[in-house]
Amino acid sequence: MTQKDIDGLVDVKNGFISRELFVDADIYKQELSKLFTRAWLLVGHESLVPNPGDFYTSRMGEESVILCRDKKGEIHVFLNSCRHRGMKVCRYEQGNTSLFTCPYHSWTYTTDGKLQGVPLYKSLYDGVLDREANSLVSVARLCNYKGSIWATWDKDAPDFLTYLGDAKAHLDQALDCRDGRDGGSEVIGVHKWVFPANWKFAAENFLGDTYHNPSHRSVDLIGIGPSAVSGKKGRRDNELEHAQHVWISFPAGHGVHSAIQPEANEYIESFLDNPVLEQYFRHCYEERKRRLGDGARLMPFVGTIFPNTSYHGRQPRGLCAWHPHSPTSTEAWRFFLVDKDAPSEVKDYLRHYYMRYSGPAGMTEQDDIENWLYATAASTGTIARRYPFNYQQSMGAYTTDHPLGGELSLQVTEQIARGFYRRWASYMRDADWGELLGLPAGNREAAE
Amino acid sequence: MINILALKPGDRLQLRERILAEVTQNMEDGMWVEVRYLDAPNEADKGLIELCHAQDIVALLDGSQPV
Repeated sequence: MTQKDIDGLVDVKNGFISRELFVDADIYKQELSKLFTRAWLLVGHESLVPNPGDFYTSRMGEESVILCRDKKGEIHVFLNSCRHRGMKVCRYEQGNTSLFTCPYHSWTYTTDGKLQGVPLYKSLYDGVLDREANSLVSVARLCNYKGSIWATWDKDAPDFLTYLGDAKAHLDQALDCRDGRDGGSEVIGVHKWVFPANWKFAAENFLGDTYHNPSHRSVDLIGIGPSAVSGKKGRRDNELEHAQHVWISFPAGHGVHSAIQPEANEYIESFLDNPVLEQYFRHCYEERKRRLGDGARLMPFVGTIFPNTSYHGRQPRGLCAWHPHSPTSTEAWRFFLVDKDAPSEVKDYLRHYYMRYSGPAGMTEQDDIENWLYATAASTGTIARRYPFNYQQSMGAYTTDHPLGGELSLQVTEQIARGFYRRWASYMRDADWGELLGLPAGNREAAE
Repeated sequence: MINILALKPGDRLQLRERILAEVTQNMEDGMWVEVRYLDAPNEADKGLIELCHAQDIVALLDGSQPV
C-alpha cells in the first residue's frame, strides 16, 4: 500500500477516516499480513493453563494458536498447524495432554512443540527426518505480563514493556489485585461470540469513546450495577464521581480513559447489594492506598492496547480480544478477571455482574454490538463508501506535558482514535519499529 | 491387530526394521507408546527412548495379546 493510498484513507490532520477501512476485503487482507504479524497480541492468561500439560487454544489474527504449559512448567504459544499437511494438531478449546497428535497422519508433538513422533519414521524417512526443524511453529516473542500472555510473530519487535510504553500504568490497574498487589488475578470465565462488524469498531470503542454513552441510556435507567437493588442506577457504581477523568492517546497507538481521584481520595460506597462484597472492596481500597500512596489516585476505566486488545479496569474488570474473521465479522473474547485469593462469594457475585454487563448476553455489550453491526452494514454500499467517517471531535484539545505521558485530554475526545489510525497507517506502510512506537525521529535508532 | 491401549510398561515389542523394544510408558491415546530400543540394526539406536506408533509394531513378544 503506497503513501498515497494510505493518505486517501486516513486523514488524521483533517479528521476523516475512510469507510473502506471497515469493509474492504483487500485492506483487511493487508491488515492480517502487515499488522497482525507484527504487533503484540493478547493470547490468554496463565490461569487458563495452571498445570504442566495444560493447553488453551487461542487466536492471533485469523490463525489458531495453542497456549500451552509444557512438562517443565514453561509457557509456549504455537501455531496450531501440523508441519506435514497443516491439519490442526489440537481441536479442543482447552484441556491437559502430554502430546499433540495430528489427526491426519499422526505426526506428534510434545508440549514444548518438538516433533517427537513420526509414524514409520525408520521405514519411510530412513530415521533421518530433521525433527527439530519440523517442530511446531513458535511465536517469535512471548511475554507473561502479570499473568496475561502476549505474543508477536515479529522477531524484531521491541519487548512488550517497550511496546506498552506509558500505557503500562493503566493496563496495570486492570491486571493488579484490587488491594494494589502486582498481578495476582485469575480468569473466572471466558465468553466467545461472533458479531457482524469490523474488529476496529470494537477496538476503537474501548480506546476511550465516552461520546457513545447515550447509547447505554436504557441500561443506566434500569440500573445493572453492583448497587442496583439498593437504588443506585447506572451500569456501575459511580466510584469515580469526584475524579478528574483523562483521555490519553499514546504514540504506539494505544488509548485509555482513566481517572485521577482527588487528593483526599476517599472510598465511595459500592457493592451495596452485598455486605461481603462491600467489606472486601472497602478493605482493598484502603490497602491499595496504603501500598501505592499517591499512585493509588490513578484509577482505570477502559482502554485499548493496539491493535485489538481492550480492557475494563474496575466495574466490570476484564480483558477483551477482538479477533478478526473477515472485513465485516469479528470474534469477541472476554476474559473476566478477579483477584485469585478473593473469597468465593466475591468471585461468584462478580461473575454474575460481569455477565449482566458484558458478553453476548450482557446488556451494555448488546448496545455496543448493535451499533457496530448496523454501522458496518450501512457502510458497505457503493454510495456509503464515498463518504468518510468524521473524526473531528476535540481537535487540538490535548496537552503533551502531563506526567501520565501521551496526548492527554481533559475532555471527551477523538484524539485517541486519530492516534490509533495514525499508527494503523504506519503498519500498513511497513514502517520500522521506531515509527510504530511513535518515537521522535532522533530516538528511533536506539529502538532498532 | 494389537490393542495398543492394553500395553503396559515392560511389554516387549517387535517393531519394523528389525527393532526390538520395551514399552516404557503408555499415554493411552490409542496411537502411541513410549519405548526403549533394546536391539536395533544400528548400534547407535540401542537404548534410545522413542515414541512408537501403532503402525510400527509388528508383534507383542512374551505377551498374552494375540498378534
